[in-house]
Order: sequence, then C-alpha cells, then structure tokens
Amino acid sequence: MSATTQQTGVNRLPSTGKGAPDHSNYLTASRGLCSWLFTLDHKRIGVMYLISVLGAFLVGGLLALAIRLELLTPEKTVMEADTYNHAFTLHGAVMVFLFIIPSIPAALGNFVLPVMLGAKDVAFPRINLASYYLWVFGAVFLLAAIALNGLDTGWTFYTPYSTTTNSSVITATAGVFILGFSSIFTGINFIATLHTMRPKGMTWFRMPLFLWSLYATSIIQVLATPVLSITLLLLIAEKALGIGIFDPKLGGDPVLYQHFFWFYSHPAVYIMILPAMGIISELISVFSRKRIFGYRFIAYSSIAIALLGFLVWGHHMFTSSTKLAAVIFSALTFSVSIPSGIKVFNWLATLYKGSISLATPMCYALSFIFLFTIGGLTGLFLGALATDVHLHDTYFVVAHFHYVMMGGTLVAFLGGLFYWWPKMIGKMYSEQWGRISCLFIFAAFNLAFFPMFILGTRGMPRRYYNYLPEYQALHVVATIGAFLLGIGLMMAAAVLVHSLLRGKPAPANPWGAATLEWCTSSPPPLHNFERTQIANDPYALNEIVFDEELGDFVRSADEGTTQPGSPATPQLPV
Amino acid sequence: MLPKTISRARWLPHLALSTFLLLSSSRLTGADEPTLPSQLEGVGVEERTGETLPLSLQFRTHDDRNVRLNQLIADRPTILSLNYSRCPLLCTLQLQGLVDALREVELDPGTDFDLVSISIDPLETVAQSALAREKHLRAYGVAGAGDGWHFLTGTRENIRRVSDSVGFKYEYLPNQREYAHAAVFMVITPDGRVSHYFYGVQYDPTAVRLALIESSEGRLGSAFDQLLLFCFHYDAQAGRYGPVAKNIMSVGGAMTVVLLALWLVPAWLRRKSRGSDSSSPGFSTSTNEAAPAPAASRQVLAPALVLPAISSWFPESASSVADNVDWLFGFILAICVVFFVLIVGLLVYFVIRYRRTAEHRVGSGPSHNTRLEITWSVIPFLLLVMIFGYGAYGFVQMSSPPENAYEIRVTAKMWSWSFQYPNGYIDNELHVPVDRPVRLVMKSDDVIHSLYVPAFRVKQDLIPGRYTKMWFEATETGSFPLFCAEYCGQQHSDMITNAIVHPPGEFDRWLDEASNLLKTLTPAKAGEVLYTRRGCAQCHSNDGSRRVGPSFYNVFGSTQRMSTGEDLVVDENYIRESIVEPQAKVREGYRPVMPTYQGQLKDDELDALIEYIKKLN
Repeated sequence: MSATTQQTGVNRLPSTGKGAPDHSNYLTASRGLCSWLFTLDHKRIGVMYLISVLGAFLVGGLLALAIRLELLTPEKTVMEADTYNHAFTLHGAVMVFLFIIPSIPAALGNFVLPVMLGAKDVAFPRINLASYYLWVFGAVFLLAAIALNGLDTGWTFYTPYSTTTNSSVITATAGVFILGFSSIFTGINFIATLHTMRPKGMTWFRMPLFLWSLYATSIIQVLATPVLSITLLLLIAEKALGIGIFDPKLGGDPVLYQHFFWFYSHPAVYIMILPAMGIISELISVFSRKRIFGYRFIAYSSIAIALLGFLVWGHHMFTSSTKLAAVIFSALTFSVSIPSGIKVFNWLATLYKGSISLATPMCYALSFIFLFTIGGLTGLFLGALATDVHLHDTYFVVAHFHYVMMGGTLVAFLGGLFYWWPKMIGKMYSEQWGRISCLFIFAAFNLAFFPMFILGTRGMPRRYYNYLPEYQALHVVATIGAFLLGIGLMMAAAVLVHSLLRGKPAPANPWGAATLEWCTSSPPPLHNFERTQIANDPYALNEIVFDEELGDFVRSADEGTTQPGSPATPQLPV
Repeated sequence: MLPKTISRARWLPHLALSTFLLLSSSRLTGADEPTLPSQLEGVGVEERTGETLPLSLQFRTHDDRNVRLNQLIADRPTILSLNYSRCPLLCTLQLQGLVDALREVELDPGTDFDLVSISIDPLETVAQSALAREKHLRAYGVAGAGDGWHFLTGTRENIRRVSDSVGFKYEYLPNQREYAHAAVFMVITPDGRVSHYFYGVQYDPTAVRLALIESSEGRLGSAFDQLLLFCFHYDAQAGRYGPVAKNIMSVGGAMTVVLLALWLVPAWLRRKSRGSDSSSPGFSTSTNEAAPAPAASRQVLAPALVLPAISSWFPESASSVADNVDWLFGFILAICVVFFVLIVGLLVYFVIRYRRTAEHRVGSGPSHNTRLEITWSVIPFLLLVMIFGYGAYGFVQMSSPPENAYEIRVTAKMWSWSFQYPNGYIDNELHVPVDRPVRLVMKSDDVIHSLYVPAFRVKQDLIPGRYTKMWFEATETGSFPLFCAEYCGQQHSDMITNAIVHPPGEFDRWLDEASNLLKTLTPAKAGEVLYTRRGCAQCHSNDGSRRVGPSFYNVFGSTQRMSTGEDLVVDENYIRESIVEPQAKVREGYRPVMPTYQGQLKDDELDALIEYIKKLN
C-alpha cells in the first residue's frame, strides 16, 4: 500500500503554494459552503444526497425503535396510542419517501452513473441540483407534519380516514407531492444521460448491469410518479374542498384511492429493489472475479420487472376487490416473481467457479441474497389468494416487506456504499470491522424480523398498539433484534466515520473491478476523467491484474507499459 | 488456474517448470505457447481413459519377488504412479502430495484400495525402490499402508508398455542424466482400466476419494457418496469434481416430489378416514345437507395435513376453509424450503469451495448457458402456476357463499362492531352456530375497517358506502378473537371482539334469551349489558377515568360546558340527543368523533341506557 499515495497523487497538479485550491479531485476542486450548495457537479450532489438520506434514515430508524419499544408489552409501555400511530406513520413515510426511494438512485446513482458510464456529468446538471432541493423541501414539509399536528394515517394515506382525521395530512401529502418531482427529475436526468452521453464503445450491451437497473428504475419513476402526484393532489382537494372523489359521504369511492395509490406504489417497490439488484450484480461479479453469468438475462429481467411491475397493483387489495379482479391480479403477481428468481440463480451461477473474496461489500451482497430469497419466497404466500386472505394486513406482510425493502434494498445500499466509498471519499476503511458490522446487521436483522412471520401466521394484525398477551414473547424477541440492529448500523456508521478521519488513501481500483469508474483516480477529478474514455468489456475481470509496483489493479494488457496513475483502459486525447 | 500454476512453478527447477508448462499448454492460446527445448517434445500425458493396462506384465517388487500386475490390480481400485527414486525433486513432491491427500480420504490402503508405483528408470535397483518405499510410507504414517503400497521395478520394455497404455510420455535427458516427465497419477479400476488422471503435486482429497469410489464400481462408498457422484462429475482439467447442473436439478426435483409425497399421502389417508367419518350417523346433520356444494369441493381440495412444526405456527383452525388454507400454506412452504435450501446451500458451498485462496486467482467457468437459464425459468414457472391455481381455486371457494346460509348483518364504526341477527337483535360479539354456513353482509359507518377471524382464516374489508360480503362455516365450538385488520385510527387495536361458536341447538336458545334482555332484566341492569354489548364502553368509562369520550360516572344531573361555550345540565334529553345525534352538542375538551346510533338503538334500549347512567351516580 505504500505505493498507493504516490499513485493517487499523480493526477495532482504541483502545489502552487499555501491556500491555492488543489484541483486534483472533486472534493478539493473548490472550497466553501457555497461551492457545495450551488454545485452542479453530480458527485457533490450525490454526496449531499447521501448525507441527507442517511439523516432521514436516522430519523426513520429512531421512530422504528420507538415503535418496537412500545410493542414490548401488550398494553401501554412508553407512549399513548395516538403517539404510537404517529410514530408508525412517520416511520413508514420517512423510510419510503425520504430514504429508500432516493437512497440508491439519487445518492449512489448520482455519484456513480456518469463515472461508470464514462461521462463527465449527467445530461442536465441544473435539473439534478433542482431535484436535490426539491427533496429538501419535500422533507421539510413531511417533517413539518410531525411538528404541527402529527400524521396518523399510515404511510398509505387511505381514504376516507385520511380525509376525516384532523392530523396534518395536507402538509404531509404536499411534502410527498414535492418529493415526487424530485424523483421524476432524477429519472429524466438518468434516462437522458444514458441515451445521449455514452462514450465511444459503450453500446447498450456493454453497459454495466447497475446502469441497466438504474435505467429500468428511471422509466418507472418517470411513468408512475405522476399518478401518485395526481392522486395526492386529489386527496388534498378532497380534504380541503370536499369535492367528493374518494369520500363515500359525498358520493366518492374510497377504493378508487387505493387503486390510484398502488398504481404508483407498487411500481415504487421496484424503484426500491431494482437498483439494489443492480448493485448486487456488480458486487457478485467483481468479488468472484468472474464475468457475470447471463448478462443479457439479467439486463432483460430488469426491464421485464419494470414493465410487469405496472400490472400488479391490485394485489394490495385482495380483501377489498372483486373475485375476478383478485384472480387476475394474483396471476400477474406470480408472473413478476420469475424475473426476480432468474436474477438470484444468475448470481449463484456467477459464484460457481469464481475466485470469491469476502470483502465487506461482498459480505453485504451475500447477506442480500439470503435475505432477499426469504423476502421473495414469502411473497408467494401473499400472491396465492387463499393464503393471502389470512395473511393480509398481518405481521406476515410486515415481515415480508421488511425482508425485501430492508434486507434487500438497505443491505444492497450498504454494500454499494462500502463498495464505492473508496471512490467517493478516497479513503479505505477497516475491512475487519466492516465485515463484523455486516455480520452483526445480518444476524440482528433476522432476529428482529423473522419472528414477525410467525406472528403474522398466528393472526397478529399490523398497526396494533395493544395486542393479545399470547403474542408477547415473539414481540419481545423482535424488539431485542431491532435494538441490536440499531447497534449494528451504528457500527457500520462508525467504520465509515473512522475511515473518513483516519482511513488510508484508496488506490484507483482497490477491488480489481473492470468498470470505468475504477479507471480514474480516487476520488475522481472534477470532470471525472483526465482523458476521454473508450468503454471496454465491463466484466472482463480476468484481464485485471494486481501490479505490485503501483499497489493497484490494472488491466493486464497495459501491464508494464502503464504509467502510474494513467487509466487502465485505452484512451483518446481530449 | 493458469496464473496459479505458473506462480507455483516459479520455485521449481527448470526441468519441472518446463513439464508444467507443457501440461498447461493445452489451455494456452497459440500465441502464448512457449517454445520448448527439443528434448522435451513428446513429454506429457495423453489421456487414455477406459484403456486396459497390460496386466500380464511382470515386475519385481521391493522385497525382490516377481509379480504380475494382475496379482496386484484386482478386486480393488488402484492408484498408479510412475516415478523413479533418483528423481531430484518432482517425484518426491508428487508422492508427498499424494500421501497428504490420502491421509484425508478416509479409505484404507490395502483394504479399500491399492497403490502401485512403477519406476520409469530401468536401472533402478530393488534396494533403491525399497528405500524409496520406506521413505514414503513413513510420510504416509498410516499403519498397514505397507500392505497396500507396492513399489515395482522392471525392464525398459515393460515400463514402456505400461506407460504407453496410460499415455504417460517421458524422455531421458542424457546431459542432465534425468528423466523429463509429468507429475500425474492415475486411478485404475479393479479390472485394470484407466479411469481418472490427477495432475500436479497437490490433490484435492475429496476428488481423490470420489475418484476411488467411482472406480470401485460400487464396491466402495456410502449412499451419500453415490449421491455426490451423481451430482458432481470429474473435471480432469481442474483435477476435481465439479457440479453437474442437470443432475443437481434432477436431485432437487426428486427431493421436491418426495417432500410433496410425504405431505400429501398422509393427508389423503386422513381424508379417506374423514370420509368414512362423515358417513357415520349423527355427523350428517340437516345443516350439512343444506350446504352440499362446499362439502363436496372440500373433498377435492381437502388434503389437510400440516407438519406439526408448522401447525404450531397457526392459530387453531375452526372453519371449513381453514384446513385448505393451512394445506396450501404447507404446500407453498415445502416449495420455499426446497428452493431456500438449494439457493443458500449452493451459496454457502460456492463461497467455501471457491474462496479466493491466492490473491491473483481469477474466476473461471461459464458466463452463459441458455439451456440452464431457460430451465431455471421454466421450472419455477410451472410451480408458480400450481400455487396460483390452488390459491385461486381456494379463494373462489372461500368467496362463494352457499345458498340459504344464515345471514348476519355487520356494522363497523370507530371502534366497535355490531352484529344484527335476523330477528333484529344487535350484539357486539359475533355469535354463530357450529357446522352451518354463515353469511355476513357488512357495511361501515365511517372509515374502512376489515373483519378478521384468524381461527376461521377469513378476512374482508368493510367499505363505507357499499355492502361487502363474506361467509364461513365454523367447525369448532368456542370463542375466537375477532380483529379489525384495516387501520382505522386511534383505537384501531382495541377494535377486538369475539366470534363465539355455539354447539348444535344452543345458538337459538342464546339468541332467544339475548333478544329478550329488556323483558327479563330491570332497565338499569339491561342498560349495563347494553353499555358493554353495544360498544359504549369502548369510549366512555363508568368509573370516572378519561377515554375518548366523557365518562358516565357521576355525570347525570351535573352541569357541563359545551364546545360552543354554553353550560348545560346533563339530563335525559341531553343523553338521548347525544346518542342519536352525537355532533349536536359536544362537551368541551372532547373531539366530535362519535358516530350516530340513530336507528340502531330502540326506544326502550335508550331508556335502559339512561337508567344505567343515572345509576352510576
């Protein structure tokens, strides 16, 4: 590693004396708060998003712990019923709208997408910055709901409860409405970037799978989010003006709201999970040092999931819809599980005969496969109509979507964060503690959420403040698991903070990956690359070899001829 | 594999390096092929799997006896290596690697298999070979190994004939006075055919064990070994056994079938015995005959055995559909368990098996296999069609009420239930007769609620502004919790009541008694019963404690301030108005959330409630 400092330092211009900005990378290219707040650099916007969504995750997580604490006993433990209802509503709303949806696309995607693609920035840098500020305004509105009257509708805002309660529904839905625009802006930006800014050699089928998954995600964001926006506007109009669309007292139909809402929110589930799958495809391949198995199948399955995801919203309403509709939606629901299954098998086949390194990101990737498999398979119980009637709106559903959303998306997000961290910050972290935190999170997660499958099967309804004493033992286990999970996540945070302060400098390509973002220095220069890139095969991992002299991985074709610090791919002069 | 081979070769002498490169050359592309010294041409191994050794040849043993090969190679699989004792390094390394592997194969030399090492040096003496044997046996360190390991010397011609038969090619280098040869050993079947080649100087014990078992032609190995052999085939290039996807899937499929059979057969047997039960007199009641359709359909879908472990997950099952639901749950669970074990098992196996041992190792293996990918898309698809079919069929049964079911009208409001029986009587608990289909016609007065009885496995949303329907047939008597499953506000979790299933004949008696409450009890007593049964207690305490609504304790006759600011005396008229038109005058400090009871309480019931409130002073 001693050669590392020398290596990352090569792109640096000679220091011109004290106080002069060091232009070698995007972090040091300019100084001052304003240089961040008004930046158009996708990397800085990504970092601002990252800090913000992690802040939102902290809020949502603390609310989760409050909920679990209350559920320790069947009666009142620490809070009143109203407080509890507000806590779980905001937990859901904050986690879904402020954390999971923007976590991978807006935070990691913003940073990684252009560099991975070999571009200088996204297509519309100003829209990108606007999307960040929309997120901030949306978050302010959503959190203002806590400060005002609270919000007690559940994150789904079901009518007519939401139109009759006197909590801050209008403030909160206005916040979600604004967040929707943030999401649409990101989606438009990514689609335009992927279509127009691919460098020479980057054909569609040479794109890394993470980019494919972001592409599929963006399509959903652009097509589905407007439906949510309209729905929420109608809800606000209904509540403020009493126009009678959803309220049966005024001749409206409350189930119509559910259809509108899930027409967005089910595809939104795929906004949450598709980028996670993209990250896992990268991690499994890089840390098995092997070409991803069935590239095209995985790429197509992302698109298939995105399209089929639009057809299955009705499965959230089996107990409120008609018989025929339920049967049709059940069939469509099963169809969407096939592409997800394909991906899991492809990852397994990638591991086969790989050269598997259990670095921290890989530990998260393997955790993901384990947890996502449970989350996916338990979906079968909910897709089958006869069993869904029993399990609907019970803790079984709660466990199922936490396995998918948290065991899936959050764990993949952490895996991606630990994977790209050296690139974003230019520092390495403690591998040992990274792995320990991953193991801890994995174990605590299962302890917290597996008992909920049993609770649900035994008939425990969700969103219950009081419950029958027979359910207590499993609730106690889940609460203990939740607090351990909190500790595990804090450990992971501590690993990263320690790296930020004390980490060793990262080489350009610490993992031996073959995608383009590893061809530039860590952290990348302001315009990502010193020279225009020609895209190579993103999964030719067998061509990446470790160069003792540089202390870094380079493409084998260049071995011996590569000068320190120059990207390991063929290049054109700018 | 290649870089690993090269890196290992670095510390070997030049000669060995050349032979290693030669061995690897089949995997090198033409451009990379190293040019060989002329004397090394023709050195290497040409695999002759299946070829029979010239077993009649005669050799000399280490203890100076003449033996024919067929005296040594019989009954058991044999490991054959071609070495010579003067070899400067490679042969020692190879035999060292061999004994290292053999120590871990858990098979005994001399009883399970034999070892035959033939010297390729015709000048080697018996004494030299005995010395070499002693050295390697010492390294082996297993008692009794001596009986199974034969070191042979022989004539140039005999050696050539054996080495040719296994494709082992070596050259004498007069300058170095050494032999150029490859490091390889062969596994020979009991009838003298070559079955496996192992290259290099380090061997995978598992692969060696499986090769010996495979070569023994059924004479060695456990059933588990045979299963492993079915799923893993020998990969000579890699020197180990690799999984064969097709066979693994066959095994997985067979396991699924067996699991399902374990599941279904007892269930069918049980159904048979049930069928005979139902034909016995007494079971076949008139109510059962009234609903032949669901009973018959149950016969089709009835396999209702749930593994003990799983059944403990479920609440008790007390309705005609519960067993079907539990069965389907078990069926899906079996599929899930098979897939989960397959996925996580392979995950763990691959991670351990293909761990990155050397920092520079790269992965190998295919990156694409259309056939395999289609297989693992189609098999889950077929299973999903089955799950969907069962689920949809069960659902249609559950949502098609039989004709002339007993009808109960349900009204939900924040946060209580009321159940109205055909004679007009209203109760806050659901009372039903056993073994008789019951149909609920449901509506909500305010927001969406959902009626859920876990023991019956039924659930249906109640939506304001429309009627929704559900039905069930209780099969067990007793009291079961009934929940609201759709979030409906502050006291959502208190919207719990009971579903009470009465034994045959007792339901009518109960209904009769309950309906005539006012005639049998004093008004105040009847009011107390109504206070709990009609959901008042949900929001109004009778002991002065504060709930959503004002307490009834000491309230009658008192003066209270309204939200409009005026003061009012709580009298009969105010109480009556507050029940039928709750929003008209709301007490200060309380939210206007009470739903109206207009038309739901009769006059004498209102009177009884007023009497009860009076009595609380």
